[in-house]
Amino acid sequence: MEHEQAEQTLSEVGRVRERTRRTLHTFWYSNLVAGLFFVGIALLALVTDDARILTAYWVLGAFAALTLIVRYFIRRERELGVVSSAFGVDEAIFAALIAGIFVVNAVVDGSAGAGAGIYPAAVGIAALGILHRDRAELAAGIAFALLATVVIAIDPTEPMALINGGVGAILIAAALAGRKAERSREPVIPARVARA
Amino acid sequence: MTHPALRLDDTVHQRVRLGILAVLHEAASADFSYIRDALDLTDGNLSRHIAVLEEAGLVKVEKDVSGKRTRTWVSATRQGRSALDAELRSLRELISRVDGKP
Repeated sequence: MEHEQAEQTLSEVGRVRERTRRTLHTFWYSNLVAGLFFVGIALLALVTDDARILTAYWVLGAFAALTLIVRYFIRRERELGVVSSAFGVDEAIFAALIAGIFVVNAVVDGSAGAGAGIYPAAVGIAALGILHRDRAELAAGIAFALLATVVIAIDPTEPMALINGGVGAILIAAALAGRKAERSREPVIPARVARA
Repeated sequence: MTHPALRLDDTVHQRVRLGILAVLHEAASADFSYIRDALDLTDGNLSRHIAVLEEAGLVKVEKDVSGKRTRTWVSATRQGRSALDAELRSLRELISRVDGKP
């Protein structure tokens, strides 16, 4: 086999794998649902400080958001005809991100702790962006890190309003950018790699 | 040590089959029409190559009846994933030999 042919084959295989990965790993819908959830809690906190109502929103809202996201991916994958692994790298990063937030919040007190809790999310989201070459996701990770730094620097009396509103706004912006990027790509893959 | 070109597996190395395994390497499974469109193949061509891969134990084929529609789902076996990895390793080695890299 010639050198040039080997290089061409490798690059064709790389393209097919990359396109399949991009088809499977899309973040705009999850970002949108999670963004709306966080904006919701920020708005709710403006009208009530009743801990029971806020806790109920967190529990029911998180459950509803997760259900919507899982249903979306199941439906999308069935329609496209390509199914991702039940627990892959993305899910592992997401689990590490959530665990990181809990650990940081347990270790650091006050608004510094609330702000620092965003850093694991920033790292996790940026990692997903790098892994899948998704600019919107990477930008969201960087914006999360900036938000965390701002919260720690200004040390507001009510950090959660700024955090929830900020996180929600970043996620919604990433969702809109991600959706636009996805629409601008070819829908399904006329790779023409593999003519016999 | 054998030359990397001699380690290329003919079953895997054929371009359509390499394309099929490349798609399946990234997914738990893919249906027949997704692979056909992804690789720009005809039904007959894809069927033939899937049969070869299935016979070699590199992919698993399952039928799924949902409503009036029957879908054929294809997934790479562990052996199929390893075979693709080995193929890509051999190709990279081949290139680096020609380029004079270690």
